[in-house]
Amino acid sequence: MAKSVHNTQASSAAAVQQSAQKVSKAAATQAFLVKRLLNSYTANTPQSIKLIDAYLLFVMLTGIIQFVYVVLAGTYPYNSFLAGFGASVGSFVLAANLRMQINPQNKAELNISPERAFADFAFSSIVLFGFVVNFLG
Amino acid sequence: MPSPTRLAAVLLLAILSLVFSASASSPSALSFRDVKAQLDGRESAALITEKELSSKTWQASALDKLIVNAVVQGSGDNPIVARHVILGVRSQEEKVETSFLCKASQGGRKVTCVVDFKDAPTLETLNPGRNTLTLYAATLDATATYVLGDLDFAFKPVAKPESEFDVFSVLPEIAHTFRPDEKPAKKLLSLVFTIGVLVPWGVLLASYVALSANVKNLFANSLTATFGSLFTAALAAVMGLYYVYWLRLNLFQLLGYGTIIGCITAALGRQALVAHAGIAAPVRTKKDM
Repeated sequence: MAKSVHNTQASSAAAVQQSAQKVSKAAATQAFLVKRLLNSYTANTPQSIKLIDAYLLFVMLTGIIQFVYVVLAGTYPYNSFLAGFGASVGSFVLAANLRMQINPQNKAELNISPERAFADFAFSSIVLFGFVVNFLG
Repeated sequence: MPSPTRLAAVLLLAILSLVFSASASSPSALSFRDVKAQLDGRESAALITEKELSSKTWQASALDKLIVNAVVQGSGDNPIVARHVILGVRSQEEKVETSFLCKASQGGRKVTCVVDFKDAPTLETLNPGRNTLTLYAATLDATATYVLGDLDFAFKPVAKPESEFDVFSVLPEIAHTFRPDEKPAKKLLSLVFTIGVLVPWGVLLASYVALSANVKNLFANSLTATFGSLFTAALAAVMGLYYVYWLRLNLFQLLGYGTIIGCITAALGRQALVAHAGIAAPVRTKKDM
């Protein structure tokens, strides 16, 4: 009787140890993958794309902060929130499109010059901010 | 092809005209002066003399004629021509206001409002009892209101002939319950998030510094420097136009000025991009041939 109890306790301890080892392996694998992604991004991404990614991050942070403010403080004034958040979302979409169009890896599918892509981005941004200013109130 | 100097001059003129017209479109104040009311009539074969505005209440019978003269002036205390000047006669009992259009004279500087109580159609629109007289004036930019005072109408109500169009009557005044005003956010919270929204700008600038962002291509040659700078200035002019539109302009002015500045921006942008594309293109020399 005492021997069977001892065997049960030993097997459960071994199972716990095995699961802990699995978790630490998964975490190490994830860390390795993230590190590999960052290294690959830093090494293989053109500088122009990185600059656009920094702008995308900036716009996203601005939108998130505005959204958190509305959640905490309420929607007053609502039109101003719509204008600001719409500017963030619209700018993000336009910059993402610009990134896709000037990415050298997409050159086969999107036969468009970087200058044309930037001209489209500039014109669209001007129109977007025209609507945004209209909503400001 | 226009020179950069001419393009810069055109851009500057466009910005100056925008600023001047925005300042010229500022609204002006409107007011009345030299307001005089006169009650002419024949009662027991005697004329009622002119009464000044020192006392605010006087009586009128069905034989009188009310004449109100006034001068409408603008912000510079100079008489101006108002688009509409109306004398309102509001019954304090029936809560109904009858409007009489005033005529302009002396080139539109002086307005005269006449209410002839002997005129049967006029009498039908008025109610006996105490009525308040008010002058209204309006221009495209401003409005003005002047309360002359109270007038007691001492005549019996005129029985209006029945008409098939008499299907409307004065309904009780609508008591609208407005929804409660939305409370603005607390000042501290607003201040914190105002500063918080500026933090991503620091992140952006730090990222650009870390990525060694530079403007070397802008000054690669004279063409890129000229057109690139002008294009940047044109974009700044567009943002300036949006700011002025936010403060003063209306949509039609924005579209008008925006078309001018937009065309200039498009032309400069095209030249800047052509110059930029010329940087990357290889230059073939005789040696290559």
